[in-house]
Amino acid sequence: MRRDEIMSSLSRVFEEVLGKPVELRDETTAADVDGWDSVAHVMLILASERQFDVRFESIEIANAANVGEFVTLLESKTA
Amino acid sequence: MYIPDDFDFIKLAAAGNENPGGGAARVAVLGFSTTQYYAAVLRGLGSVSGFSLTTYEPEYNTVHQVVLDGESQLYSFEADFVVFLTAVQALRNVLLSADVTERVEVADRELGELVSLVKRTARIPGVTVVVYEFVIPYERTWGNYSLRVDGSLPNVVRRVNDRLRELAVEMPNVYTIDTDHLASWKGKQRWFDERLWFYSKISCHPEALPRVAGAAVDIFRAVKGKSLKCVALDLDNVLWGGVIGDDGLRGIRLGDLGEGEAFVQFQLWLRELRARGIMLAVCSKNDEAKALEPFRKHRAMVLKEADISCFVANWVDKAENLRRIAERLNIGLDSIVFIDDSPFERNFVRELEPEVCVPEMPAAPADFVPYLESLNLFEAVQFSEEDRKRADFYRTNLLRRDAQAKFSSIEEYLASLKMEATFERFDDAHLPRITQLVQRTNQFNLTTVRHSAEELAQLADDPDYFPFYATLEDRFGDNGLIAVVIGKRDGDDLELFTWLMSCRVISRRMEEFVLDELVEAARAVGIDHLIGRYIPTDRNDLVAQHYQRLGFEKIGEDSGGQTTWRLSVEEHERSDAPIERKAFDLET
Repeated sequence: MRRDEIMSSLSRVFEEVLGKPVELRDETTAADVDGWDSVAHVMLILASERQFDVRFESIEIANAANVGEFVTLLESKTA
Repeated sequence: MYIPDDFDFIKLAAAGNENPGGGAARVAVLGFSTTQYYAAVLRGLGSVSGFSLTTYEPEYNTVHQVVLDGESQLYSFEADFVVFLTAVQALRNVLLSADVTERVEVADRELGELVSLVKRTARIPGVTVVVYEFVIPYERTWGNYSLRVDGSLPNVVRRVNDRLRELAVEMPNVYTIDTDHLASWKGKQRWFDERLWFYSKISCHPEALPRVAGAAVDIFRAVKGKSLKCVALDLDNVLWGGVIGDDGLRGIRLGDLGEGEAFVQFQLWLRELRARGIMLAVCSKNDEAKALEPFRKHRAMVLKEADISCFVANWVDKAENLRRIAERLNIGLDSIVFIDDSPFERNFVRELEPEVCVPEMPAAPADFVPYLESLNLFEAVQFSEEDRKRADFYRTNLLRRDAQAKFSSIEEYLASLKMEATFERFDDAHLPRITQLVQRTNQFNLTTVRHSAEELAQLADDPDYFPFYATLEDRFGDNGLIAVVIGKRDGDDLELFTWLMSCRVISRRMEEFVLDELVEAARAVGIDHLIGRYIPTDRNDLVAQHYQRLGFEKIGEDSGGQTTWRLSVEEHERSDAPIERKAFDLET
């Protein structure tokens, strides 16, 4: 999948989980988004797994520092 | 419960997080795992099913402290329900740390702690406790042979679950949820996601939460008397394949291999529900004579005419016919589930009567039973003789109504019924049914006080209380236990703080019989006056003038419409209600 396709699918995932539209950029982090707490985080991971049909080895996405890195991770998994 | 398919765990959790909480019930969630995901889905289910829930969740892993500290929020929250959300992963680690020969002992110790927490919680006034049993672990150290090893994880956990269920039998306000069933329905491979347990102490994959939390909501609704009581069935392509009006008796598909057998399975499933006390009704667009033909003549029909509590086949629209069924059976539209293969009819009924439960139906009849089973529509919180007979009660009631048409006056008709009633103090054998009636009755209920099972058991033995029930039988059949009246002695007065009767026996002069017997009981112990009270709700208008009709004198009325009434025991004369009192029959 292309980065922009991933980004737009990911926006839908965020909207579904957080219950409101969220403007995502590569540099967006949890601190920038109202409601993106640890509980929402797990839901975002699980919803992404379902949306992109992938599985993350760990749900600690601490190694993804921001949305851009997360998109890169999804890019490699859906390649 | 039925909720539309597009409400998955993500949508439900989002709905639950938006929902500030509502009034149908207050639920404390005590978790041995993370509770936020569960509680959010629970609230989400409540809000989309019109049963809005307020939750309280203490911090992770503080169950012991919260229960043992009488000052904790658990006690001030005024919960209707306390849920124990267990996690087999936590138990598993304790068990695996012990030697296999000691595991039964270790499990008993863990269980003992849990049981004492549950018992303590169940003693909080007004609380009903719901305990999730443990999922049977997937670890089988000895392979298939594991079930022969006492200390294997599956065996030890099974034993723990058995004991939890015994506890629920002991304590009438404790229920358990068969979590292993929930897990195995979709499959344990998907249920157990160890990443989620290690990272966040989430005990099952959240995609299972709608069913997991749904099981608890089903129990809440049943305890609150909001259960489904009747299945209203379309006929063509629901009870048989094809259209009876076009294909005729020989043309419909029923009973042979394949599709015909699927309809037989569905009918067997329905008959089982009926035997449990769920009423069956027919709601079909058909000529009545044609619609009845298979019931009377088709060899493969499992359901017979007598299994149908109310049979409506005509060309009137189905919303109207469902209203008619509700009225004839004397139940609310919200206690009917409507089964129809036609998307048009389903949507029509959803639009016009949103209170009716209208599940989607699978296209293939072979999927009817597994699909409907997956919804768990008919949660039971008890099962008594009374439940088994319920479907019959309603059918005989319709026979009575037809018989009534033959008499010129209601008095003549009532005399012809040859009614016999009992009137007795509460006893253990009847407490489950008494509790059920107290929890469920809305219309013929003077004060709508919902005593818990425990309260009712206590006042049964208290000499200051006059707790009575009555049963009624007539030539058409047994109506069962249909009236509960509870008085409390206050000096020379008997204060009637509860009086309720089943709608099955309205207009039978049963209330006069009950009053006659009450007065006699009061007279025997030197009571001078009966004091009655009417507290209006939006459902009990029917009995606003109950005490006036019985000859009480109004002695008070407040701004909320609550009225108080008094009757002199000395002046009361026995009524001429044509009901014989019969002695208590030990057999029943």
